[in-house]
Amino acid sequence: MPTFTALTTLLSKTSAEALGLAMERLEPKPTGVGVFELEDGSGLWEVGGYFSSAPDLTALTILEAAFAAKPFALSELPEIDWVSKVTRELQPVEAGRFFIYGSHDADKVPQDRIGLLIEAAMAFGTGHHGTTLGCLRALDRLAANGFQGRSVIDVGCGTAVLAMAAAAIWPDPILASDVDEVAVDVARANVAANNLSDKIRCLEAAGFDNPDLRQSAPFDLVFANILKGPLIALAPAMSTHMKLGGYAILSGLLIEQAEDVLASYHQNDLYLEDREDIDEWSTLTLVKVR
Amino acid sequence: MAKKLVGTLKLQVPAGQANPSPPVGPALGQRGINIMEFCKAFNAKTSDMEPGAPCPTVIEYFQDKSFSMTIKTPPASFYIRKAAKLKSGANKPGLEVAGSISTAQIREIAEAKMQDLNANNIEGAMQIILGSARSMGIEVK
Repeated sequence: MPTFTALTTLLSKTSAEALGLAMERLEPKPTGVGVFELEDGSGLWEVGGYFSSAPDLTALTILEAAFAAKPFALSELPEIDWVSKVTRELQPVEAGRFFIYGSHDADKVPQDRIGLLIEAAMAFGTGHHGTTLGCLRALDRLAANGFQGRSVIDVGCGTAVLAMAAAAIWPDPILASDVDEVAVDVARANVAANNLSDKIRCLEAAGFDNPDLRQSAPFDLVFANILKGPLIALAPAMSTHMKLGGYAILSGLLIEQAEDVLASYHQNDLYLEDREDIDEWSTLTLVKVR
Repeated sequence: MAKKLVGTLKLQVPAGQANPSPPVGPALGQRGINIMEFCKAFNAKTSDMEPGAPCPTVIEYFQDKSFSMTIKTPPASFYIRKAAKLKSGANKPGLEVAGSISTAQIREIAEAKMQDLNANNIEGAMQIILGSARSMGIEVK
């Protein structure tokens, strides 16, 4: 079955979403409509329709004018093996001693690296992002400096990639929690796929609000790769549940947000020890001093 | 985890039968989204539905190529055509009648669609389905 596409760009998300809705009502009906932020830093939004027969050019021209969009680029997609194309693009990620890969790259794990199998699926944390990469590198540096985590938790674990990385280098049990039950299911599946079920316990929790989690405190290493707001909100509870001299590896914050996050953690006796900025994202390693 | 949403994609995917052919393959493949992981998760989530029922599905994808999906109930027109045992509605709704369904069937459809309808109660949902049936040239007996 042929696939035709009609793509255009707009200046704002609002107008892109409105055009996307309008495209859903076209005849012939599109089999799919997408609204995407272009990842080239231009700030432009792309709207694309997928059709099983050639789209109505007149209707598209009217939509262009109505939504002040660029002229639609129309094309018929070649019939290619999309699965192979995607797996070629989902390259493994190297982060210090860790090598994050999908099952299609299982034969590429170097002998001197620790391989972690993560499929790009329904939880964040595939390694293809500056925040995950930053946390893995921060962990690698801590371990290289002789730190050994004996009581570790990954708060907002997503795929549980950070918990698995810690479990791969240290012997003690590790907790991985997330507020999203889908992520917890994905985390459990990943932990099982990496033969780490006996070392990592995955549970659903909002921050430290879980009796099992509090019972395991205090922690000497906390990962929290979430977002600025939740990171700031979590600062008092994190400090309460950490050992003196323990570390917190925080990410999910933009470079310009780092000072605000640091300020809230200073107020809770956690001070900056290490920082790495990757792309637009910052990763902070803090130590609890009081 | 620090999800940053890049975009959303709306597709109509047959329950239990997602595969890499269009529209799933090209739409997801062009964005580098893991097609087989999507198909696996979608088919698992829709395994209790009637196979092949068209499910409007909203896929949100994030900077690290992970994604989430929201699967909605099939369109009212799908249920109405099925109840009336028709392949399509009337060519000229309002001028011709393509078939009929019962009030009990309207209620069944309203119950099946309730979660996705903007209705406070089942009676309100039935009115919405009734309107859809009329617009397809299907009368209610």
